[in-house]
Amino acid sequence: MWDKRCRLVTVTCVDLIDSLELTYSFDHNLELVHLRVKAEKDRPFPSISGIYYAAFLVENEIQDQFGLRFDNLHPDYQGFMLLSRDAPRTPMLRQVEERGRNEDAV
Amino acid sequence: MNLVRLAQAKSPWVLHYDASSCNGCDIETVACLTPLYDIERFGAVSIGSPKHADMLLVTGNVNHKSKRVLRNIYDQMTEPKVVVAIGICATSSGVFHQSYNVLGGADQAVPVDVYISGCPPRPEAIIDAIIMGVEKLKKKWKEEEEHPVKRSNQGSDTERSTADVG
Amino acid sequence: MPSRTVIPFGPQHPVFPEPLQLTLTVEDEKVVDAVPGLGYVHRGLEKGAELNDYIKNIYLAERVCGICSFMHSWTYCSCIEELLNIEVPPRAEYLRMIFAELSRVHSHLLWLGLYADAFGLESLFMQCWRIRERCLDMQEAGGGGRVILSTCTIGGMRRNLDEDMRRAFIKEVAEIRRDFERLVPVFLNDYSIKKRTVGVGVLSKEDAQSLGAVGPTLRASGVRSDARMLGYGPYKEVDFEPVVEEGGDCYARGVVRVKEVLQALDLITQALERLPEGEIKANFRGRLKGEVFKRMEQPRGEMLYYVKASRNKNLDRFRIRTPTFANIPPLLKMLPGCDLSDVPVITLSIDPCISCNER
Repeated sequence: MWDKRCRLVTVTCVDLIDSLELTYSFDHNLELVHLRVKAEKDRPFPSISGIYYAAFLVENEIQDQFGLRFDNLHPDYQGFMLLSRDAPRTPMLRQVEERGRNEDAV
Repeated sequence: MNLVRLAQAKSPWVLHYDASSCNGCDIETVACLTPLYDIERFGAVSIGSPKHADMLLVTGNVNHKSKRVLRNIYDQMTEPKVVVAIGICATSSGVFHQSYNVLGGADQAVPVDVYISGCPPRPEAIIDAIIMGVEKLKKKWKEEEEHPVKRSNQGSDTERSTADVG
Repeated sequence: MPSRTVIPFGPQHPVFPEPLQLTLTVEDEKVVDAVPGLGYVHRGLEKGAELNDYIKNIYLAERVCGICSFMHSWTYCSCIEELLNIEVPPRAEYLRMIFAELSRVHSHLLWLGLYADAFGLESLFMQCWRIRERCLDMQEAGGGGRVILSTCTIGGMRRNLDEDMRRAFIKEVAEIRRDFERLVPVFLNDYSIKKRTVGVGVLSKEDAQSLGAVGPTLRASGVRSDARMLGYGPYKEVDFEPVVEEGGDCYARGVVRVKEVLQALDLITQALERLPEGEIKANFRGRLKGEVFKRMEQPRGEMLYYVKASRNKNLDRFRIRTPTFANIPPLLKMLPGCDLSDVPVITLSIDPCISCNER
């Protein structure tokens, strides 16, 4: 992607309960190209911030919100970029009771 | 009321801080300064330093991180001081009430004297709130003149009680 | 050996209406490193959207940012419309474009005012905001609110524009243009503005692309890229050519925005003249299923929405990538090497919108 001079648009993280789904979106001449990867929740995931410096913000955000650790992330806020020390941890992960309520609504 | 106080009531200096609003209230607050609404008609000047300010305008709800900053700014202001909560978020956290990072209105961090609702409130409402704030300020000055010792005690009481809330 | 000092810049700073913190490392007067401190406006909106049902989320999406709130509701609604296969009536699409371009005009005027204020031209700030009030009056007349309109809804628009209003709008746009054209030479030629901005905070074309800059920041570095070129809504039918400048400095970013104001006024006039007749709202039913990525051009640049749903009333995932989020890495690239006194101008030149950025 870097060689083709694609611009990193964003990384989207979705919680699939048993794992996390990361979608890397790139822009190439106004066309979106998506790469989809599955990541395990408790294992560190390789960071792309060494290649795309711009990725450090979004990877830090995912680290804050989903608790997924990234390897070689620079600058690394240790999961406290958006959240402060006294805020709830990993707020975007799906809680079991919330899932139950969603299914009732169907 | 002495002459200095009389003059001060005609020219409240305001400081604006965005606790965590969506920008709507902020730009309406700034719009008050501009030619159409022109709050300088009432002598109000927007300034950057908390040490100079009589009045603190808070927009937006308070989150975990901005609470400390807001508290810090409030503590730096000289007594007596008035806090105006602008918009529904600063009053009761509005549409964001479910969010995990939102603690509530501005009163979670500092004691608030004037609340105005609206999402965002119109500039006329903000001007009105500032005028109401001046009235509050006058009342506080009067109290200070009458009971100089008692008032400062009261001040520390409110500070302690809000610290407990957080 | 010059001594190094660490200066915290913000969160409460007179230049910004919003709390952005930059931890600057300076050597004498030169900045050598900048680290952003975020989170002062983080509200957890993406999670909040998962708790509401999808119709209530329009109001939440509008409050991502108070300046470009209409663009957010448009993007959100078009995501839902794509998931539900709703055909939006052409009149509604044109009305949406009119309000979107109006909010671009008022956002750029707001920015130009703050920009003028950053280098001390307070009367220019007042002039820009005076013209901006006319846009807000138009928004109030046509949409119902000064800043947050709440007029965009799933399937179309909530309020129509009658014939008298349409003519009044055309006249008003011409007057805004006349007023603004008197300020254009100041922004383009004024000696003191050029002195403060030319050659300050240069971002090369390669850096802009690799760091993922968007919007006027990208176009000022000579890259012809604008999400409106995708041709969503009525943009495929109107005359539209993105504004591109070559300089890559703060001056070029200012010029791009000045030209975009004129272009947006032109687009509003075109849309008002071609406004098709017909319904303004389509009916819809059904349940959301699937996922969609949607990009639109905000005043600050390209914005990406991701919506995922699986037959629930609630969304499974709602993600917004806002333009400021993409423009912060280029800002960190621009800051090292500049003077400490230029930091406010450079920071403002990306048009930071912190409430978008942190949601």
